[in-house]
Amino acid sequence: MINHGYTRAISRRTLLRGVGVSLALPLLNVMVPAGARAQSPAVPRRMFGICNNLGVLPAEFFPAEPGHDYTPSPYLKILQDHRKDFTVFSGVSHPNVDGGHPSDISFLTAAPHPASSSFRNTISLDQYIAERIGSQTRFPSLTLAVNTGARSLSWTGNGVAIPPEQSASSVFRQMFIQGSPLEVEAKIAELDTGRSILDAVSDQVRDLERNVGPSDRARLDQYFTSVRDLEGRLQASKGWERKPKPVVKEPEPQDPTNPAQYMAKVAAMYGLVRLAFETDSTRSVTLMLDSVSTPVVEIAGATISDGYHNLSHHGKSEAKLAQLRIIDAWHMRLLADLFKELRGVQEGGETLLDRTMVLYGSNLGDANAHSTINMPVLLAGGGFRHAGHLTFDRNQNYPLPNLFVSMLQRIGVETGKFASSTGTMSGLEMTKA
Amino acid sequence: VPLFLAPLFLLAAAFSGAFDVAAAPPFAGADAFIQKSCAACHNSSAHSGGLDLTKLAFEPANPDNFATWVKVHDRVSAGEMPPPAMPRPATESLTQFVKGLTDALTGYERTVVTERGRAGLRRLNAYEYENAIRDLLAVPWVQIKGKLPQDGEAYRFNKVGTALDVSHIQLSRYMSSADYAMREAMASKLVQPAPVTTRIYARQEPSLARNFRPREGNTRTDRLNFPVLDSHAQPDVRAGRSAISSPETKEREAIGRVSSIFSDAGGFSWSSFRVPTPGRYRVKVKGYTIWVSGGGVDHWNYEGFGQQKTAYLNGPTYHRPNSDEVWPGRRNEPIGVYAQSSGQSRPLAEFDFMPEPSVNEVEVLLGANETIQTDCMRLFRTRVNGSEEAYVNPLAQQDGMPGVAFQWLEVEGPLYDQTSGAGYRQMFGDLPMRRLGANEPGGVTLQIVPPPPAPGDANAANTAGAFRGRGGPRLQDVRVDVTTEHPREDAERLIGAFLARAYRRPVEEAHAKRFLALFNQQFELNHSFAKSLVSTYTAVLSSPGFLYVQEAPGKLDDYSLATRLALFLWNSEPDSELRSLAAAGRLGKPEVLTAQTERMLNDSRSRRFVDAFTDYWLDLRKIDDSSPSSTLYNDYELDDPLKLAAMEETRLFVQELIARNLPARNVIDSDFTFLNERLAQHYGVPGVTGAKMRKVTLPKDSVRGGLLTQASVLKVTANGTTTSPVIRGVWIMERILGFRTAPPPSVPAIEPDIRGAVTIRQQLDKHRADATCASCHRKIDPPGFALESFDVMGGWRDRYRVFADGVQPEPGIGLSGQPFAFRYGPPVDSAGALPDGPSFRDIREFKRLLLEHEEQKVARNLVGQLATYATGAPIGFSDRKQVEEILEKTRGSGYGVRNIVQSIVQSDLFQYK
Repeated sequence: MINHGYTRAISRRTLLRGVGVSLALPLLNVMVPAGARAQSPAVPRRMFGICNNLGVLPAEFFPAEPGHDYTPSPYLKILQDHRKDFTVFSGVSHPNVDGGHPSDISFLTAAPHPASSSFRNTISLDQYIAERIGSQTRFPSLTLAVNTGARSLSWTGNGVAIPPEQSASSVFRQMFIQGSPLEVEAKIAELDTGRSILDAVSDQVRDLERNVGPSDRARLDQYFTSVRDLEGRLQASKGWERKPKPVVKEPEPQDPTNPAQYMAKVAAMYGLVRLAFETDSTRSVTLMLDSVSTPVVEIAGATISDGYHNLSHHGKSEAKLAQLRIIDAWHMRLLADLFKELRGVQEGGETLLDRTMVLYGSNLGDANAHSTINMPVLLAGGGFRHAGHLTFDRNQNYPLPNLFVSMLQRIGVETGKFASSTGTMSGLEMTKA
Repeated sequence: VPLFLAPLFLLAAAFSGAFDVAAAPPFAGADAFIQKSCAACHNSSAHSGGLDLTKLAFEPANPDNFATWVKVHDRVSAGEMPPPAMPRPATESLTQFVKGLTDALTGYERTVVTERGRAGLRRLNAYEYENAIRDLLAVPWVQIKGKLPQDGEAYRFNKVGTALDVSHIQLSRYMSSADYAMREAMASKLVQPAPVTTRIYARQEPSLARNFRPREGNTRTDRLNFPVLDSHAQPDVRAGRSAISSPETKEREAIGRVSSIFSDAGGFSWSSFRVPTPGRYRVKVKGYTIWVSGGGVDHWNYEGFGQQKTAYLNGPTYHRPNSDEVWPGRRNEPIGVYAQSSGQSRPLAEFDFMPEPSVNEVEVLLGANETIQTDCMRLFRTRVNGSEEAYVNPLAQQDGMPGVAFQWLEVEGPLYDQTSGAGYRQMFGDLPMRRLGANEPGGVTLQIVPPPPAPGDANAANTAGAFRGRGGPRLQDVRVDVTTEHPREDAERLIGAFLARAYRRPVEEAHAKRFLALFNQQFELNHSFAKSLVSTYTAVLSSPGFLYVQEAPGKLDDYSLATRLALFLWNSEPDSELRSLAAAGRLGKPEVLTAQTERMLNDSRSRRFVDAFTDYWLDLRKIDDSSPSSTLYNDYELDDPLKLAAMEETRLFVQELIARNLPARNVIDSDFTFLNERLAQHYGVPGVTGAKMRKVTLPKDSVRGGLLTQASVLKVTANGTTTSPVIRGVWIMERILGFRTAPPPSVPAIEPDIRGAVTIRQQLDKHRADATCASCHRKIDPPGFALESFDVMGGWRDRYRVFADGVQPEPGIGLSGQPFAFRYGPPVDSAGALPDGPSFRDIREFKRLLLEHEEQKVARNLVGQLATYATGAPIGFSDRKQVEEILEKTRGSGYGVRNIVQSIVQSDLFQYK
């Protein structure tokens, strides 16, 4: 049994140790480019992008009929209580995003051919949002993952991955545990030192730039841009450092240590994200559920005999399919819990779910075949008039980036294009607010 | 005859109208040739092969356009175009066309290279950054690579500027990594205990001398520890009727086990010893192998919960150990030694226990607060599956099962040498460091392992508990400063020295001034001397001067040459010898360069080159991307010894090619390889016992030898469940033969089916019946067909394994203790034909064909891969001449791999930007 008082005391000590120990660079991956300041919208809106990189069994997920009155598929039956709050899409995918497993990193970027040797990723949806409204919250964005080595859904504009945070308790501490005034001042001094260091190195870049040709200069420019980005980020962190952190009644979450406790890890992340939104600590979150790197999943009351990835190569074996159904159903149950929790929080006369776009899906339409078309995708909440089951051509898929454009517009970013989009998502309208 | 370069599309264009060649040609006269010999097919209406030469202008600045013209050149010069069915142009005009095109392409590329160099500006990759920091600060134990964002990859390697991006994340990780490494260097200077030898007897080790009897909820007798004395059981000790240890038998007492590490459970750690300070230690382990009778230990199991809970007795079973009947071992067993901290463990060494007790000694690098774990890697790993007892020890026989007994662990250290404290000296010279008191603010905070509680300490019981607890003692924060009488003068001197060592070329005055200004600014803000210096050094180690490989177009100066050499052969910064040669302007002399290359290859740091090169060239870094299916391949499940040996085989093999200057044809086939017992068993090579990897001469008819049939390669080209001739074929074409294959058009991939009704071969045949698919697949599939004889872990197979519900599986038990679930399906067909005719029946014949026809291609590919890795730039059209020269120079030694490395270093490819 966990003694919460004890837990809190420890985390406090851990925090104290952190201060002054190392360069106080903000641990969360935030991005505040200079000059990117969108208008504060009247209603705060949020985005939560989740990718399960082994997807779900398509036959169990997609309903048959289109529109509002579809008969729920076995998986969607688990989400029945929230039926009016989400739209499920079929026949959608990212144009030219292929290559099987490596395509998870294109889930929120839609950058083509992620498995090719000359691949370069582009900005992800969450970072696009963070660049524009990120300065309004303590953390412009959160990049989270479960059971991954390094796979991330969040990518900067020059195609660099933002390493994901995998410890729910560590993020919790950064969001909610307040330091003493002395600690805060020490932290600010550290941030100032960081900026002085950046000043010193950026002056050197200018020197070097004079001595190199144009193509090499472009590489140095990238360094220079990074310096400026980091400076902006340190500056923003300094501002937030003086503001008190929000107080929550929930205890610090415990991180399951074993990757087999996959579902517990996912649930902890969902709980954390709900708190982050409820306290308006951030408005843009991604969560990579790296099922590919997940070993045999522990599920109470069920016998799972094989590693998750191996199960996904079920080769049509019924024994494997049965186990996949159990795992997939758990994913759906946790998602239903998340929707319920978000619906349970009120903000300005609406529920938190009304103001949070939850995008759930996978880069793989069918993991057994490594297929990247017919991606399973659903969008919940977020101020849309949900349309039940939106169907498109399963042979000639409809571009999924169009949904990202709709989401960007909903969050208040005025754009008509994202990656390979051709417009906004056809058949999905915003609510008025 | 080029075997794989089959003609593109053969369109018998019967008509021969005149086509206007409108676009700007690559050289005067090219249009006439194109109109006469190419335009009948490659025109705007027929558009053969997707190519309209009448419209193709020469725009070499556009990379796609340049590549298209290179392709035109290659097809025509190889005699593939115009195709045989079409009229042959006069030899003279053909030669002229090829020469004209060569000159135009070379001319353009050379202009660009003269202006910019082949290689673009690049930063250090994560491997290089980690090694450079480790070497600079003498902190070889720090782990940095994993903290940096993953590097991009271009032309196969993490060495090319265009793929090595920088972002604010990257930059902040450099800063925090440098800061961390410097604090480690300081902490290892602060805590320098006198070297001691600590021996822990297994019977005194709390985490081993426990768990002797089944308990409720923990009834797996296979996971019990048990007392052993002189290879026999001690039932009284196990039952608790006798003392755990006695002075008379202390030296001979041991703790036995019959199972290996599973998940993160305890029972394998020597947690009484915690590494007090990072550094080098000598570890000794004493123990031997045993044989344990079967029959199990009677114990109660429970079913149900609450009121319904009922007990039942677990009866004797042959495959459960009887911990009260122990006998001398019947064979040797491999013992793995691991360092463990916060739930992570990393392998340190592997050796054998024998039936007779032996002391095994290794010297290892350990980090602060790590503990040592020992484990017999061959023993099975129980995995709970549904019911608690539903598994069988696969090593159990009718009369018992193997096990091991540990007597003691001894750790000696830290072993100090000239590198001890060198990082601190690099930072602070001879200035002393002191701990700050509670009321002295500031300073640099270090984390150290708290000393163990003194005997007689009133709180000893509590502290000892915390000290021994899971995860060990928490690291303790200590704040320190460095004492100086003349802070500014000392800082100026120290920063100058640090820059001179950190930067790989003479430091410009302006740069040094800037860092000194940073120090002064920090120092004036009342940050302590040490802290201000650490901040300054953080700036140095995050600055472009350290991060970027600076080279000017044209011939490299000696400093750049030293850096290229060090990054190529050591994956790190130049050492002092290279630096002084560069400073003296002597490094560029061919004989000096040869001698230095020899010295560096002979140095143990060249292993970093082998590891990093094979990580990318052969994808060894992806060895864990998939794990063997527990349905089809649970005999490989959790078999870490096999996986580790397979990786080591490939690395030692490549190292051997370099060390002994062996001919490049060894890549295809060799009469030797490197094996230990597990890998030899996997390959069916007799007579290899023990955990140690060694060079083994292969039996005459062995399918092994060369890289293609090594388990590591066969594993990274499979997905753990199935193999695909397409994927393996492409892999060999690209990695071994040096062809680039175009990505497939967007057609649905073949869906794997493990039910056994249809083989991948039959599915592919359907695929290949389609002419569009066949044009490429006839080239890429054959190597894959030859490798169909190897399963997902590189084991030989005559039949596929299949899985179907309701069919009786093969008898047998996997390493996890679960029964096999597969049965044998259709036979493997490993026959195929190369695109231009010669056919092969199996891998042996396929290798022979490659050796007969493709030896030069294999060598050329090796030159290309190595040169790309060494220079950070791909082999361009105009670089081909130099590649051919390197081949020419090394032909005498059969393209000896060491000669190839030497020739690359001597070539302009390497010596010019």
